[in-house]
Amino acid sequence: MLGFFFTELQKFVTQELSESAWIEVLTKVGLGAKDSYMNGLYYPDEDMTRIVVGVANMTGLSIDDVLQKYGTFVGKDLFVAYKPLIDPSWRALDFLENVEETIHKVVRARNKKANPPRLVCNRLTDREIVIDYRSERKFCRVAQGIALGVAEHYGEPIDIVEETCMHRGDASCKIWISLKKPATATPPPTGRSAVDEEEDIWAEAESSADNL
Amino acid sequence: MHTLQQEMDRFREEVPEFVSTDMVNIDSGLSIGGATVDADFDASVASACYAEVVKLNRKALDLLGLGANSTEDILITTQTLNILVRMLGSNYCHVLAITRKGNLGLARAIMKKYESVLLNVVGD
Repeated sequence: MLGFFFTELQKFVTQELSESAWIEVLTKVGLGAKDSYMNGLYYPDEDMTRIVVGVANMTGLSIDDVLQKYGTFVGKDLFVAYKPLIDPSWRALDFLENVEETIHKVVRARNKKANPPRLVCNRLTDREIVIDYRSERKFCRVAQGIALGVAEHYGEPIDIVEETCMHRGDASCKIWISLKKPATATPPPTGRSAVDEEEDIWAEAESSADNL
Repeated sequence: MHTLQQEMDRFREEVPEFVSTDMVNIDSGLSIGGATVDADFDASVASACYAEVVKLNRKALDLLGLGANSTEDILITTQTLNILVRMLGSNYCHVLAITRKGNLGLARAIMKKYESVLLNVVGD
């Protein structure tokens, strides 16, 4: 896997937890000597899995949640880097529909060993898309996180349902994505948003990490 | 509007002693388009390294009080190649590698000729 994804993971852990948490995770998963990754080099996929498991253990979050949150994080930086390839008229689902033919095509051409996932997209309606995800890495949760980050960028909240998953023995992960219907409901009684809830989870995780 | 890749392909055709070219996002070190004489060439290391050179150059110029973003281009000379790294807005750089037989002045002129169209494509 391209080093860029490791340096992004380091940024993610440092931002959400702390710099020392990153070193601590690497040490705990037996990668202590490799305290820095370089963007342009390639590293074993297994390193990524080990670090993510380490972060999950440290924070108490599930591995799937860590992968998804990381996907959202890295998705935003990827969006900025590849912005010149993105049609300004696209919205969230247009972007997801075209990511294989625009961004992945360039990645395959310029980064021969990067091996991004194969995405086959089927646009069902203006508001729905099904993405068929195939990758030996089986990081479908990262893909879902990226989709959430893209949706956030466009200000178009989405729902995601994974109909099939390689982790359950299926040949591919079918990720069904639909735009949320415009909100008409009143705020929850506590007045707390999903963002507030997420911040609490990370604050708790950070506190746990400090106590390790 | 032409795509970035179409412009890079057109650019490649104009440069004598061409070896490779890349459009690099400086922050990530990712190549977002390019071309090379070697079909198997992996641009990952090169583009990430060029991005690091640009970042360090900015830092050095800032320390010298010359302005972090005052660079027009950076020339890297090796035993076999001349590599020109030209700033393109604040977030991207355009890289061209030619053989030592190539004409640096001409290479610079062609890069400059494509500057406005590439800036338009990257929208920076």
